[in-house]
Formats: sequence, structure tokens, C-alpha cells
Amino acid sequence: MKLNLCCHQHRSSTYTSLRSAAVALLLLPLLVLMFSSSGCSGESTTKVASDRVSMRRSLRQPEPKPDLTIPVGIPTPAFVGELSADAIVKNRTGTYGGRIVYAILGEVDTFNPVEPKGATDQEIRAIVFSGLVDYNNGNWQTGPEVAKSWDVSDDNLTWTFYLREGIRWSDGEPVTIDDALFSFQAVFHDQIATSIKDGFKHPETGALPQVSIDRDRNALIFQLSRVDSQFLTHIGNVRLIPHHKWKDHLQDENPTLLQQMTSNAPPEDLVGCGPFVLKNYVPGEKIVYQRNPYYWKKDARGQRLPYLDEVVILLVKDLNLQWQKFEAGELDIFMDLPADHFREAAAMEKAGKAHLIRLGVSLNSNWVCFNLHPGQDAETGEPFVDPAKSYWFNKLEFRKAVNHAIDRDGIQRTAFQGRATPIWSSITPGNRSWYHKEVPTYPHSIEKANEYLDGLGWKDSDGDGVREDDQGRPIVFNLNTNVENNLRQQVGNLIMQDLRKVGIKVNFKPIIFNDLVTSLRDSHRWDMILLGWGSGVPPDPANGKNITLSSGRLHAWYPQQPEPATAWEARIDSLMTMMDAELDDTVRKKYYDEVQELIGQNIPILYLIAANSYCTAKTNRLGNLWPSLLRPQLTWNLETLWIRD
Amino acid sequence: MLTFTLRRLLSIPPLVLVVSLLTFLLLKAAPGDFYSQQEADPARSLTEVLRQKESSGLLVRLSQTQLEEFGEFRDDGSMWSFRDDGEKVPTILRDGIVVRGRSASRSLLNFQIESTKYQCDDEGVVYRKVGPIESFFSWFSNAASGDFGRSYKFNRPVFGIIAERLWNTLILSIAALLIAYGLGIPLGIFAAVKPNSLVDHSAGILAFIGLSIPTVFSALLAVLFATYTGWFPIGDMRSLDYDLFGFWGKIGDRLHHLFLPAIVLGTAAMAGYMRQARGNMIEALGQDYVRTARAKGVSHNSVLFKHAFRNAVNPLVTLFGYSLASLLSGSLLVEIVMNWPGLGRLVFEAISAKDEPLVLASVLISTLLLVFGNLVADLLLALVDPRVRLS
Repeated sequence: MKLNLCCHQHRSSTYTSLRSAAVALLLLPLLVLMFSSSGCSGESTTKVASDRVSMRRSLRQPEPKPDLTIPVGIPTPAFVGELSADAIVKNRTGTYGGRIVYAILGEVDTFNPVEPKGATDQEIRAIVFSGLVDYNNGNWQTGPEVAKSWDVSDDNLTWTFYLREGIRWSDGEPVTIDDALFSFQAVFHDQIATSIKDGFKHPETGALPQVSIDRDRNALIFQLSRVDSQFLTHIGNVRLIPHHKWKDHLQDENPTLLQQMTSNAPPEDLVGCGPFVLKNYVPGEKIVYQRNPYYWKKDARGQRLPYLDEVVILLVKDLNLQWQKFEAGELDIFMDLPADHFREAAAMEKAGKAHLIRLGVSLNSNWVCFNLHPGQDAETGEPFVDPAKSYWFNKLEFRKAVNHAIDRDGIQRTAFQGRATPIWSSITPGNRSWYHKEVPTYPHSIEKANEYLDGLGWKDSDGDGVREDDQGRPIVFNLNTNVENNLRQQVGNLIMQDLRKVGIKVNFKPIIFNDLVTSLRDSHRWDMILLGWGSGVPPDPANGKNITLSSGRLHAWYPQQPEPATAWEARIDSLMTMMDAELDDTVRKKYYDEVQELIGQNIPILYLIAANSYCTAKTNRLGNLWPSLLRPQLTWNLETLWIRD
Repeated sequence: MLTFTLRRLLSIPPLVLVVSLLTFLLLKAAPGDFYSQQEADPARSLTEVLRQKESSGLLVRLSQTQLEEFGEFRDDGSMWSFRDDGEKVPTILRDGIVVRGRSASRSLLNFQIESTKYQCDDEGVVYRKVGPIESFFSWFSNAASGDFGRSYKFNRPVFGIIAERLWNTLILSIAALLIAYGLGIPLGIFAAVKPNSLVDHSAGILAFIGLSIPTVFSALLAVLFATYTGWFPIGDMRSLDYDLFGFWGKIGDRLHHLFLPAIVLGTAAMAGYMRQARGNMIEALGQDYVRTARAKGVSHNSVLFKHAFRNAVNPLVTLFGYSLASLLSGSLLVEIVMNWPGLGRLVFEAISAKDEPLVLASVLISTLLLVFGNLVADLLLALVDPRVRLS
């Protein structure tokens, strides 16, 4: 999970509004005509309804099937060398040639797979570098990659990965067990700061697994000091780099490995065993990849992969420009379609120019949370939260009342224009593996909210529309969100109005991102906050331990508790620990269901809504597209995509 | 003139010092730093984030001897101390009882002893936060010896990153400058020669439109124009297949891409020059020497260009000096909206991400350009106007 503080809305909010103004200026006469000639509103509501139906139907994206009749084509550049007998066989067919063009917002920080910095780096490193295992976004499962198989000892502490024989790096050298060992030594190196290392650490001692090799069995062996249900995921996070190329840069003291493969590295430096190799990178403009001639997978007809000659990624800074480029046909796909462009995308689908892919409810949740921190400022001795507010927030009935008062359907209709789903837990219905139906819900009901508040004896005694608590203090507090996100600002305003209806006055103040993080993390001076969690890949709740555990840094309502503050938080902590030590996902799901129920019963955090997720693509042009809710939605299987024309 | 130039050049070092110090303090004054985003990412542990901060020089790791010298101190309601037991990390004592780094870190994540701030991570490693003044002077002394640091984001020396983008921005800015001067001054003169004529009024209207529409907005209009007509590329500096074109094809492609952004930037700047040229020219044409020249029977063109224009041009030369300084920074918004891979975009991102070495380097370049631009303007002024003497 990621703190989803600034999804794409913020990247170009000024331009969005200006651009809309520009469009409005140009199209004003046209719009007037449209409004006068047709009942616009009626049309749009039926559209929303039908959209929701198809949403349910198309949640599962079908796996592409091989078609033996399509032509083979000629790969340029051609493949080199023999295909390994150990090659993975993909059940696909396709024609060689062509290139796919898409854009990403952002810039390459580094090509180094040992420490990918930004989101862009993480997305593109899979194109050139492969790991021992790989997560399949299509069927949500981890499968073999450079390792052909693995086994686990009975005590679940020794993992053995058997390497594929006869596969080669993109420079033609064989991939050996030494390369695999070297890659893990690089990540585990004491002086290499990389977040990839985190997952491997023992939560208490910080100890890393022992790695060794068995040359006879061509195997890499890990000796763990604890059972780790996420071990395979962590293994998949480590991308292999060639020992013969970088061995001199992993010195014991001050290793220089992280200064290699930076964004100005020559393309031939990026030696990997992924499907493509870097051909050309122009900062701020584009990244061009071409086929790795030594790639080691084949398709249903025994042909080598990948099909595409080239992959071109344009680096775009502005979301609107990216959309214009897609609309003009310069891009083949557009992932993470923002709400602003939904109508245009739908119109393009109608015109037969592109297909709108409905991926279902996204895994990103929006929530509000009350500050339950009991602590005080070390210097001034003042409590972080005003005692009166703290008194309200800590009343479960109050939180229930607020939860009942918030009209999630209203938020869905107005802010999200119907393209969202109310949620009651951090796991949205989009997460097929972890969604739990039986979490407590608090449907919108002003009566119930009033009942709870009346029950507390908090009534509006002076008739100003704001309730006073039992000590006569008017119930007024602040709600913050990050100013960069337009959509979230709309949601905040709606919440303010909803709470006003039950006699709670909220001052809604969007503030800048860094201020928000500082107050959340260090100063703890906030009352109620509106934010979101994003989901990582794979979408396993164990990735959110920093949020769920009471000691977590992002345990939003009261972070880094010295001891669990409540009995239910202690229970959640132990459930999370049990989840870590359990490899069976059905058992783990039971544990996490209970976590979700506990959070639902005690609602320290009120989950509100999850937007629906859309992509748009020229599906007629692209073969073997297998859209996934998980990012990168359309390009995770670049090795089997092919161009139809 | 030589002493004048030398004096100007000598004023550069103190100016650079002050400008970079101010930039530095302003960057530090805003909340958060380059790693705030990572700290807010649940998938990252603080230990690794702190380690990255250490490698960027924002934190200094303390040795165990230094830690022992702390003695006992109070934080979060307990007494703490560190002991060197010969292990890799110090032993941490809370109220005399040994605690693990992980539990200590919950209290000691941020602590303070006598106004110096420290951070302790999950593994018991303790860092000292480097204060703004201290980090400025360490940056400055490195910079004095030619090492301007590595960008936090790119992990590369800053000037290499800037050099990659510098040319792109210069091409755009110079093209815009040419348009601004090439159109602005003739139009201004023309308008001044025939004041209150149709040409003057339409040029005036044009100028006000140019001055009042923000470049972001006209850039957006330009992108829309390109999308709807298809006559121009939608953003970018060159085509995807640029490398496959021949020599003339490449030049044509570049010009094709340059046209819209240069027009957007150029017309915005042109308005100012045009009004300036018109005003100066009208003033010059009203002077006695012009009337004298006319009375002498000097030809109309000669009066205009030999007498009036040479006197009207002085403020424009000064303006030119300033426009040199804005060469690198003036095109920021257009670069973002029209996807021009220039310096402005890079610096904008660096500022919002608080990538301090990169921001400082670019501020330094802009400062130098401003100083040199002024110098060039003054020298030019002495050249075109014999009345100006530099001494």
C-alpha cells in the first residue's frame, strides 16, 4: 500500500482548469446549442447506470487465447543464439514486428534496478531486468521466471530456488548462479541504501536472510530467521544484474554500484535478462527499447518472444497533453484514465477509435480519520489534540454518528459522477483475493446519526445549528486534505455539508502535501484528515503493515504507539504477526477478515469510497492485451503484446 | 571600460554567495525535504530512508564514542543513554534498562539535545540532522572547489543534468527572442511614425492581448489548435522518428515543432518591446533635434533611423540585458504545457521535489546570466550611445 496523497489530479490542476476554460471558450456556442436541443441530464444518468452494469460484468479480464492461423512475421533485430531447453512456454501467438507507443508522466531518475527511486523507475525496470520469480498481474499469482522452480523446507525457513540453465544476458553471457548471488549480495549490502532490502529484514532484529549457492543443483538457498509469508514477493522485487559487468562496483566499503546505470549511462551498460534492452534514452523526451535478441521465452508455436520490435515510452509532463496525444492517435494506450477525460474516452469508443477498458473498482481507498493521539508536545507540554476534540473523537458513538452522517452515495454521484463505489474497509471490492463482505457498514442515515449524538447528550441548546457537547462546548473542528487533489477537495466539501446536517461544524482546509505529511507524522496537530491509500503490487495487506500495526509510522490515527493503545489494536497487531508467519492464504485471509472487522467495529478510520478504474487502448491494433487492475495495467505483459497491422 | 568590466566581474562572488544562501534558506524554510514522499510511503522503512538521507548529506551518522559522550538525557518522559559494547550498533538504555533499537526508535525517532536534532532508526543507528547554515557552508566550500554536488533524484553531478537540457531551452528562448525583437521593434516604430493610425491601434490591441494573456493559457490554446487542425505537432521538440530523417528533414522537423512554442513565448514578450519602442520613438520624434533635422531638409528615412531611432534604442538595449537573464527561466510554463524537454521543466520539478543541489546549480546559472546580461547591455549601450562613458 502507498499513501496515495497525490494521484494524478494534482499534477496539472492549474492547467486542467485553464484548459477547460480554453475548451469552454472555443466550444461555448456549441454547448449552448447542445443544451437547448436535447435533455442532456437524462442522457447522462442512463449512461451512468449502464456503465455500472457493465462494470460488474467485466471485472475479470479474460486471458488472451492463442490463434495458430496468424502469420509469423520477421523479427528485426533478429534473435541470436540457441533457445534454452529450459525456456518458459507462454500460451500465446503473435506476429513479429512493429512497436508500441505509450506515455508516462514523469522522468527517469535512474535505470539502476537495485534502487529504483520514483514510480517511473519501478515501472520501467521490469522491461530490462528480470527476477527469480515474477508476479502475474493477469491472474494475480507469483510464478517462476529466471528460477524454474523452488521449494520450501518443512519449517518454512529454508527456501531453495533452482535456476534455469542455458539462458543468457542481453550481452550474450550466460546467466549463472553467481549472477543471482551477486544480485542479492548487492541488495543486502550494508552500505547500499535501498528500499528493496526492507522486506527481507526481520521485523525485530533487522537481520537479513543468509544466502548461499549450491553449484551441483544450480540453486540459490536462503536461510531465514523467521517465517515470512511475503518472501516470494520480496524475491520478485530483486532484479538480477550481471556479476561479470558490475563485480568491481560492489566494494566492501563505499560501494559505487548505485552510481552505475544512472540516467546518463550508455545503453549497452544496461545488461539484463528481460524481454527488451534500452536502445535510446533522450532525457525529457522518450525512452526507446528494442528486442533483447537473447530473450529466453517462447510462445505456443515455439517461436521466441518478444513479438514487438520496439517499445517507445514518451515522457510527458502534463496529463492533458498526454490525453491530446492519445486522442490524436499518437499513443496506443492510455493507462489510469483520469475522471476528467472519461467522456472523451467514451466518445472515442463510440467513434471506433479506441476501446474503453473497464477494470472495475480500483484498489485505492479514500478515507477520513480522526486524530486519536493522546500525546503532548515535548517542548511546550501542550496536548497535540485539543482536550475537547480529543474527548469527542474518542467516543465511539460520535465516530459512528459521523459515519452514518456521511452520504457516500452522494459523494459517488456528485464528486465521482457515478464512477465509484462506496467502501467500508481498506480492501475495496476490486481486490478479489482479500475483499471481505461482512465488515460492519454504517449506511447513510441522518436519523441514526442524530440518535447517537442525542444519546451522548450533545444537543444544540442555543439554536445556532451546531450541537454542544455535555460540557457546553460547540462541536467544531478542522478537516484537512492535500490541496493538490481537486477530487478530494470536492469530497471534503461534501463531507462538510453532510456533517452540518447533523449539527457538526467542520472547517474544511485543504493544505499543501508536505505540510500535511509533517503534521501527520511529526507535529500531530490535526483534527480530521481526508486522504487515501493506494495499493502496491501484489495487493497483499501485509504490504500495509506500516499502516495496520499500532507501532506503524502511518498508523494514521495514532502512529508509532509505544504499546498498543487499545485491546483491539493489540489484537490487530497479533493477527498481523500471525499473518506473517502463515503461508496458507486461506488462513491468512481469515486473519485479515478479522482485522477488517475490528477496524470496522471501532472505526478509527472511516473508509469512504473507491473510484472505478479505466484504461483506454487501441485494442484493434494490439494483440494479447490482458488488462489488469494492478499497475501497470496494460503493459505488464509487454513480452507477449503484438501489433496487428 | 576595462576597469568597469573588472569591477562588475569582481562583484560576482559576493552576489553569488548571497543569492545561493537566500535560495538555500528559503528551500530549507518550507516544510519537508526531498525524502518526505518516501517517508509517507508505507512500503519503505524509515531505516532505509534515513540511510539515503545520510548518503545525500542531510544526516551525519554518529560514532559510538560520540553517543557515549551524550551521557543521560531526557526524552518522551524517560532518561536515555547510549553505551558502546563493541557491537555494530550501540546499546540503548531507557531508565537504565537495555531496549532494542526498534522500540527505542518510537521515542527517539526525533530527539533534541541542546538545540541539536538527532534521529534514531529501527536498528539503533543515530544520526545528527545537519542544520541549514552548516549544510550551506559545506555545499559552498565544495562548490568553491568546483564540486556542485549530486542531484538527490538522479544521483548524478548536477551540471551534467543541466547541460542535457540547456540547449533545448536556449533554442526555444532564442527563437522567441528573435520573434519578440524582430516583430516588436519594427511594429513599434511603425506605430510611432503614424500614431493613432489604424496600424497603431491594431498593434496596440495586439500588444494588450499579448500582455494580458498568460503564456500558460496561450500555450494551452496552441496545443488545442494543434490538436484540432493537425497542422502542427502536439507538443514535443522533435518527432518520434527524428533519428531516421535526413539533415534537412531534421531541421524541418525541429522548426515544425519549434513554431508554436516560439510564437507563444515570442508574442508575449513582443508586446512589451513594441510598446517600449513606440513610446521611445514618439518621444524622440518630438525632440527639437528632429524638428531641426527636418527643417534642414534631411530625408524622412534619415531622420527616422539616423536621428530618432538611435536615441530611442537605449532603453531597448538595457531591456535586452534582462532578457538574457530570462533566457533560461522564462519558458518554464510553456515547456511544461507543450512538453518541451527544457531546463525549466527540470528546475520546476527539482524545486517541488526539493532537490537542493539541482536547484542551487540552476539558480547559480541564472544569477550569472543576469550579471553578464547586464554587463553586456551596459557595454552595448556604450557602443551605441557615444554619450555613455563607462569608467
